[in-house]
Amino acid sequence: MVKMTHFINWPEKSVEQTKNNSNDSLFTICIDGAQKYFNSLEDWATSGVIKKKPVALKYVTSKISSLNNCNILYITKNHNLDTYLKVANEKQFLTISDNPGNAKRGVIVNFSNVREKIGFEINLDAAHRQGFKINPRLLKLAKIVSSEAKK
Amino acid sequence: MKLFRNLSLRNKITAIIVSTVLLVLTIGFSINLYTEANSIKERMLAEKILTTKIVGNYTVADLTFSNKESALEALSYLKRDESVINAHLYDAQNNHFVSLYQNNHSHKFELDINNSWYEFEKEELHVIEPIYLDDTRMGSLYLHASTTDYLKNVQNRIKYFVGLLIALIFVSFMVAGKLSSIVTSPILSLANAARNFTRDKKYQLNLKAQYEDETGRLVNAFNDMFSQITNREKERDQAIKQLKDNEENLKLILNNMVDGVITTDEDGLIITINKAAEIMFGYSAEEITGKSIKKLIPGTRESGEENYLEHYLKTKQLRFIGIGREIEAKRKNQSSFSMRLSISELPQDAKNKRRFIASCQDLTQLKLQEEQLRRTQKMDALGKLTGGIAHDYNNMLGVITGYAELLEEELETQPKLIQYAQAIHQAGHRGAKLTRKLLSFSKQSASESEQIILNDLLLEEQHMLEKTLTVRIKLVFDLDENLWPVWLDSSDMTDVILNMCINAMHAIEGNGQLTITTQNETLNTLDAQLLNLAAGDYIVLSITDTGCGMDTQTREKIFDPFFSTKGSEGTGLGLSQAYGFVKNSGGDINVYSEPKHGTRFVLYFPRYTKKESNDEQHKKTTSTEGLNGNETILVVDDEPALIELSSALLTQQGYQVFSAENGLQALMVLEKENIDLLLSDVIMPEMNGYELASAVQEKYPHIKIQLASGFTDDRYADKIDSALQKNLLRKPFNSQELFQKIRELLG
Repeated sequence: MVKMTHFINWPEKSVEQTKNNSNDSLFTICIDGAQKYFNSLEDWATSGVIKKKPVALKYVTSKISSLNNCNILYITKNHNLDTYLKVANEKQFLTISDNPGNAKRGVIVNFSNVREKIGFEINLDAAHRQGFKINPRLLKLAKIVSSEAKK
Repeated sequence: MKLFRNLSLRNKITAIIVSTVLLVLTIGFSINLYTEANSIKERMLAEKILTTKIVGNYTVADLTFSNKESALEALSYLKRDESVINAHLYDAQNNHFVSLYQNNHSHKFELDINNSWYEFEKEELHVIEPIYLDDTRMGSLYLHASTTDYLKNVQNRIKYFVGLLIALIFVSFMVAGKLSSIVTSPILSLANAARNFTRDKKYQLNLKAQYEDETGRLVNAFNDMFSQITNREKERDQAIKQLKDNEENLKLILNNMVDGVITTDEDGLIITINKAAEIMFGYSAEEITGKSIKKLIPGTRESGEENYLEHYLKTKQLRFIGIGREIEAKRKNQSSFSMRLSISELPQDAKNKRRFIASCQDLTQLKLQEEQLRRTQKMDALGKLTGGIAHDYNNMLGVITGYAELLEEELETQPKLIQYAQAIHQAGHRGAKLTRKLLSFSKQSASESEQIILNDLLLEEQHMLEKTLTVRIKLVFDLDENLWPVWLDSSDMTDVILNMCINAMHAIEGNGQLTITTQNETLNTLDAQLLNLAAGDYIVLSITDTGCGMDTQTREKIFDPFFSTKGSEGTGLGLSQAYGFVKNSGGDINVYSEPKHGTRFVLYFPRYTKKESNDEQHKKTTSTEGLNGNETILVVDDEPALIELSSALLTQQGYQVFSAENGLQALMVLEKENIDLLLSDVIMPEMNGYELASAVQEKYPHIKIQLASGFTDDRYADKIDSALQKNLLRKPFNSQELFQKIRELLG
């Protein structure tokens, strides 16, 4: 996920929003999931830097307010997915998940296992909609999917 | 270099231009090629680096997410570049990730793979470019490419440049050939002009300069030079001509000298000889040049001539050579002759050798002239002697014959005594004839000269001469038809011819021939000098016999009076009379004789040109009638006996006679008496007959004058009436002659 940030440019608006926030000098990775799975990330995040900013980890709930300042929202569970996606459209943070089919539902980056290797899908429509610019070199490796029409 | 030097100017210029173009272009092309090769190399390098970077960048995501398939796919783009040999992708830990053409992967890197690096190795290029994601190096791409294309490119460039170079050199060669003719054509035309000038002598001056450049200046300089050369040649030719003229002049002077001139070196070898010397010695210049002068002047030990030069060389005393000395010289035909030799020293020649110049005067003619003069003087002395005696004898014979005539008339009645008187008269007459011959020799006899043509006289006397010579001697005439006239006494001339014919007859024993030749001859100064005559026109009478001839001794004396080879038969006066006659006529007589061959007398008479008036020529009276008269006559003579005789004869004829013993006495008589005729002797003391005659003519023009003399004296010829001289009564005269003369005068 951290490597992925090198190939994605965040929209300007989102940056301004973060500037207005108190924590705008941090690159905040919001996680919707159990902390126990993210120990290694936490270790890295203590000294990690993304986009020239120190990294802060934040475990979020379904409360929308908790999503403030997020630059990335890692979604492990699908029960608040729609809410997150909705907020994501407003707050313009990058949505990442690791459940199959999530990309089609509107998550921008969705990790998957392809022949025992980590692969990923990218919903280019969602990315464009939210103003993210994705490096074509990354796109070359990803599986591009489109949002399914809402039922 | 030598080959180049011998090239024509045109080829040199072409070669210089072409080689310069070649050099410049080669340098230019080399620099260009070097720059371009470098540029190509840099471009290739830049291109490969760029390719490596792009492809590397293209694999950054692959490296990030360890996607080898995608990475290999990215590397496979390099296949499109044929120069790529292989490519290897390494990850951030420098581990091999993927390779293009992996089979060829054999490269082990000892270099820092983390940084950009490249290297040309032989015909290959190695490039390493690190791959960054943001600031993090994600790996490195190693590209291994061939440089063959690059080298091919460079080779093509070289081929292109070489081709271009050859083309440009060809073009420059053609252009240089054309351009060089601009330089060479004026030079070639100059060379032509110079060749024409020197070889063909075509003096083509004022060559036109084609351009106003150096060649133009050269042409002008050539023009100046040609004109200078032409002028100098003219001056030189003039100088040579003048030198030749001078030399010719000097040669002419030397060759026209009467004296022989010979130059010798100090050994006496002849260097030059002039024409006179050639004639004198009989050698040509070619024959004698380089020979010893002793050949011409053999000299004798006695005379010391042999060593005269050596003497001078030793002593340096001019007396040995400077003054002329008379010596014996030898001709080519070995005959000797007398010569005056004068030698002086010339300035030394170019080799500092001494030279001498000898002046040779042939004395042969001088000796002959001296001999002639000596003979003439002898004859003159003899003439004066015989003349003086004959004059006195004449006077005495006049008295003897005169009185003998008177006696004859007085002794008419005594026939026996008359015979005695007649014998005296005849002896006197013979004596008178003899003295006349003597006087003729001594040139003192009066003559009756006239203008005659010798041929006429000879033809007139031909019959008489043939008779005298008799039939055994053939008389041959060889007469010049256009013979000039002479002025002489024809009867004396006849006597001379007759005398000489008689002498010839006596000289010829048995049958023989006598040839008489006449011809005109113009004597130049030299010939005339030899003959003791003045130069001019002469009539030459030759009498040649085939008789016994004479020896030298006889020849020397034949003109002497009383010399005779006929013993008692001859009087010894014939040839002396002839001598006197010829000399008296202004001519000369020469004798040439060889014993046993014959004798030739050659008589020269001067051509007569004066137009003498003939009106004074008196008519010879042959009549003896009417010789009496009663006029008064004055007889003047310094000889009393002759006065008496003349007076007696004239008185007998009826004339009234006065007498005087000299001119002054005669004038005194003339003052007192009325005289009709003056009879006067010519040679008288104090006042001679001519002086008396002229005084009388002046004072008494009516008085007739008759002069009488035994001499012909021309000293007063131009002072007196020529009639008087012509009418001279030759002593001794006879009464008949006297009476005739007097009657002719008195009318």
